[in-house]
Amino acid sequence: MKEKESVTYRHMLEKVESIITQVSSSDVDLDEMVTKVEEGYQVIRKMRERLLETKGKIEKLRSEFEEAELPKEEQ
Amino acid sequence: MHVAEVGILIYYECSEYAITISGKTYPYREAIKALGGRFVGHDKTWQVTRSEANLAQVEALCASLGGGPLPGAAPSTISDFAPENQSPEGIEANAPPPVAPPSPVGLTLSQLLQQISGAVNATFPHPVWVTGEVQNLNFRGDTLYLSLAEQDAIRHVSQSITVNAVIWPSVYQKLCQQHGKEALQGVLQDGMQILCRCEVSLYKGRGSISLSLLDVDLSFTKGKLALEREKLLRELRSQGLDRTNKSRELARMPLRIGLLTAEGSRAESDFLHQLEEGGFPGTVLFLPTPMQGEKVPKAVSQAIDQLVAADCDLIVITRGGGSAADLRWFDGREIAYKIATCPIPVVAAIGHHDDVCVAEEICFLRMKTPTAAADFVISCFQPIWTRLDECREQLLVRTERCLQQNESQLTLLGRTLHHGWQHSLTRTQQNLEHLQGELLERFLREILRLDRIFLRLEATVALASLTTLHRREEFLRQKARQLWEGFQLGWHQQLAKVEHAEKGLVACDPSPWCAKGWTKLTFNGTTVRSIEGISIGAKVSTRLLDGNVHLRVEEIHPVEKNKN
Repeated sequence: MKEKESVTYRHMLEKVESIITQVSSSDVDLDEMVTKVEEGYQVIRKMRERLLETKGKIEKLRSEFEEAELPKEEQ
Repeated sequence: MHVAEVGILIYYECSEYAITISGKTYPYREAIKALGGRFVGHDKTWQVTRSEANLAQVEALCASLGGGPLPGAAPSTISDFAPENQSPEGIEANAPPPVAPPSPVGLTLSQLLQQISGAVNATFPHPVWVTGEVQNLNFRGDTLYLSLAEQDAIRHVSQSITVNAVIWPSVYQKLCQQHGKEALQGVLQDGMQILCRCEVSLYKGRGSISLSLLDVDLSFTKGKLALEREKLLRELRSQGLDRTNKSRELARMPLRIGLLTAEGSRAESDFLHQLEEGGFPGTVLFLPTPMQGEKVPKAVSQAIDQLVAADCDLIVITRGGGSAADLRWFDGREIAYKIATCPIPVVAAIGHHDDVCVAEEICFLRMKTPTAAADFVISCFQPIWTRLDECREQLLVRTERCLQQNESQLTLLGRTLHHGWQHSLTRTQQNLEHLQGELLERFLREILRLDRIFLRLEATVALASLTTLHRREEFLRQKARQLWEGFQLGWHQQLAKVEHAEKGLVACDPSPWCAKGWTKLTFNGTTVRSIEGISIGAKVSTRLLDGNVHLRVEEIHPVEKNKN
């Protein structure tokens, strides 16, 4: 289940935009609207988490790279 | 000779050696044959050897058939008929009296022939010597039949006079004993002129003269041949033709020999065998040619022409045997002139040692036998072979001398070469050592030079490498910065999108409105925005904050709109 739900960042963004489009429609049912909105919030939450996770990884890589540069500069 | 009257079926007449049966003899031929009779075709008569027994049987046969002897006069013994024993008066005394014609109208043929026969017998009561040319000689059984011919010189016509003749077996045997069979056969040949002693008789059946040979003078024939031979030789000598072939130049090496002889004869085998034994190196063109008989002159003449055309060096005419009488063909004009005018030397080994024919007289060389002729051919090569042997010896000696000289020179050259080679090798070794040292020195010098160059290049490369490396490292650091900056930018953009999406969701979230009591009505899944969309009694749905509510419309009250 987790693997099936593991979608790329792009897919999540497209999904959120689709939800917003659907919710913005005047013919949507209220119940459905609420459901969609809740789903949208969940996707956004995941996206934030992914962003934070990515930022953390890149910062780690950068720090490792800079640490590797330091001995050569000292030489 | 006894002669009977004509008019009976068959009759006979007797001569000294034979009984002649004539008339209608065909139905009784077997009986006559049984008596030893031989049919004479040209007379249409039968000849039976006279003997007491045969005469008695013939008489009995003719008597049984209504025949008998023919009447006529005959000498009682042979010796009485010898010309030397006859006198003219005796000849007349022996002449039969004339016969009176039996018929007043004239003589019958038989009577005529009888008178003629009588006249012949009276004229020739004894055997006479006659000359003539032998023609149509042939044996029928033991009897020899021939014709004697003569050109009619008196009447100057080309037609010859021919008289039939016969030699009875007993006479033939006697002549063979007397003269020798070979000598006799040498004379009794077609074309030969002979002098013979004959009984002259008239053959009444044909009305022709018939001669019965009793003897032959061989010396006459030989003398005539010898005269003709001498005449021809004189004729050739007068023209100088007896020396022409002798003066032909014989090739030093007669390698092409033309051979004329009978095919399969002893002469052929002897000649060829002797040539082979002698190691003859050339070729033999053999033309089979008859060496006896009347075809010899033409055959030999044509063969000589063929050999001349074939460009032979020498012609050999040879025969191994045969009678001396056959030599007469080589005494003829045709062969003599052919040999005399032949441009090629002709060697003849034809006759016996004491019989030299004209061809042998005038040819280039006469040899006694085919073997001797072959030896002559071989002898032509002897000087050349001797000379070749001498040359071979000289060549051997000179070659050996030359070889020895060359060997000495080679030995000297070998020593010189050896010394020279050693000296050259030593010099070459020294040069090589010198070159080796120089090469090594140059090599070391070059190594040092290259080493210095390599060191310089190494330093240059190192320096260039460090510079390049620093440049590359700076490039990478720049790229890392760009990457971080790009990431940051993108991340913030994504965050902005998320926040924007969140705001959109917030804007669409009905929960706050629901918390304030607002809701949305739906009828059959459709949002109700106006009272006109529904009617009283319709079932509508709505959602509150914490659940759904299903309602039924009971009353509808429109709201007045603001006119401002």
